[in-house]
Amino acid sequence: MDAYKTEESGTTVMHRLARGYTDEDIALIAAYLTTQDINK
Amino acid sequence: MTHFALTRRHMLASIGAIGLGAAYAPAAFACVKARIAIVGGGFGGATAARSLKRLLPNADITLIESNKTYIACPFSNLVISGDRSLSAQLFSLDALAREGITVIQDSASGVASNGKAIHLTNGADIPFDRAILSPGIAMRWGAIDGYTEDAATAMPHAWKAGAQTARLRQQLHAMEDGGLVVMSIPAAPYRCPPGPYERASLIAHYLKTQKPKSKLMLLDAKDSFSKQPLFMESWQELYGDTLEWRSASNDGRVSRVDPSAMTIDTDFETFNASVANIIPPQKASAIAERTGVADATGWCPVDATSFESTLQSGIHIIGDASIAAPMPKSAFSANLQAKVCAIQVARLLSGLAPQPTTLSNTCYSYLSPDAAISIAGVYTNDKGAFASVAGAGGLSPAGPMSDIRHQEAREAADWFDTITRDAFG
Repeated sequence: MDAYKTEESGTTVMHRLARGYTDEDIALIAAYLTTQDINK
Repeated sequence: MTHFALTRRHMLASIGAIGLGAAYAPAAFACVKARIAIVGGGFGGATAARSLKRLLPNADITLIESNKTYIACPFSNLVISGDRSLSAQLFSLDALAREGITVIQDSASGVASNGKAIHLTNGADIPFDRAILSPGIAMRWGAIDGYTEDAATAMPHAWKAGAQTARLRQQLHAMEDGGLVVMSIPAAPYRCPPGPYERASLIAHYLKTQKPKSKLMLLDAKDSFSKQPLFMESWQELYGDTLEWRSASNDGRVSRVDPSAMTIDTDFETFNASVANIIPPQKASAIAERTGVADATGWCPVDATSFESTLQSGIHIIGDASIAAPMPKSAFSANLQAKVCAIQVARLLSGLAPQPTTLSNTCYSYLSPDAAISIAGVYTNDKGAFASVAGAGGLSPAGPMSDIRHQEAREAADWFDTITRDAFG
């Protein structure tokens, strides 16, 4: 997410979305993702 | 499927949880045994039901939906152009029932005078402590002179997916080469702001490749529209003279239609259409008005933080029926509003105040069956009002057809799989 946020441009919507989230938001996403089974 | 794609999907899905992680109060939530009635089994209602079942495992959650199977609007423009089967748009609510949600196949006819029960058409009452309405849209029949519900047989709107979608597809398929296809596009607000222009792109692609002597005329009640620079650039590159767009100030606004003569009138011109797709002005579905949550605009004002009606306490409105601008009326918005609303309902039923969150939206639009563009936005909802986050969101990069467009078409397909699995299991 940090990479998406700082890259100037890119193909996906993630770059555009990531710029709307604070560092605290991104820390919350990271914490949430660690609770999820990525292979589900 | 690459590992990266999975990661990105999970990020997209989990963005809905942002701002909520710290707000979770699972211990208090487990004690809640309240009754929650949800009206509408689309992207908003189904997502709200599933989210609430996870948040409040001991609550009594009832979903009321008149159709046995939900038919999704996103991607239905590909059905109209012959590039996708309508069966790929069908989603059962059986998974919700298996998860312990009471699914009632009936339509809600109103709310009890005490404001604490939903009336069903079959006469039964569903009592609730809090209700969530995600009823979608209704057409404003007669807003365009001559465009009644009966007229939608000869001139389909196809703005609710299902029989109307199949009808417009069939009419295009049956049209002889050299015909004129006319689309009428309403002023804002309406469901899916870029949707008419995606549809125009895909119909133009069908005509150009299958019926090259035919033409598509877009008559618009607006002078500007979502993703306009990207659409217009691609129309010129891909479809040339096959497609023409008339803005409102260039006599584009349709004032009258005659379905038996297949004529469409603007202020100064009459078009004889081989196929006419009239997308009329819209409002919140009828249940909103009967529940007293729609205002004079026909849409439902809400407190942005909680999605609770500003007109009726205890009733929350999400999705297309709600007034949530600058969030667009989209499946993505409805899905995320449902998750946020579920958390706020759980908090209110636990004696906690609603908490501001961050919301987002992404809308993909196909330019041709293998190329797409997108628009994204990020929004806040503190102090009861919606606002766009400055510096975030925006459009796909401009420029001619490239791998970026093909990549976004693949991402759009991933998005559809992810959001439908999220909503319907």
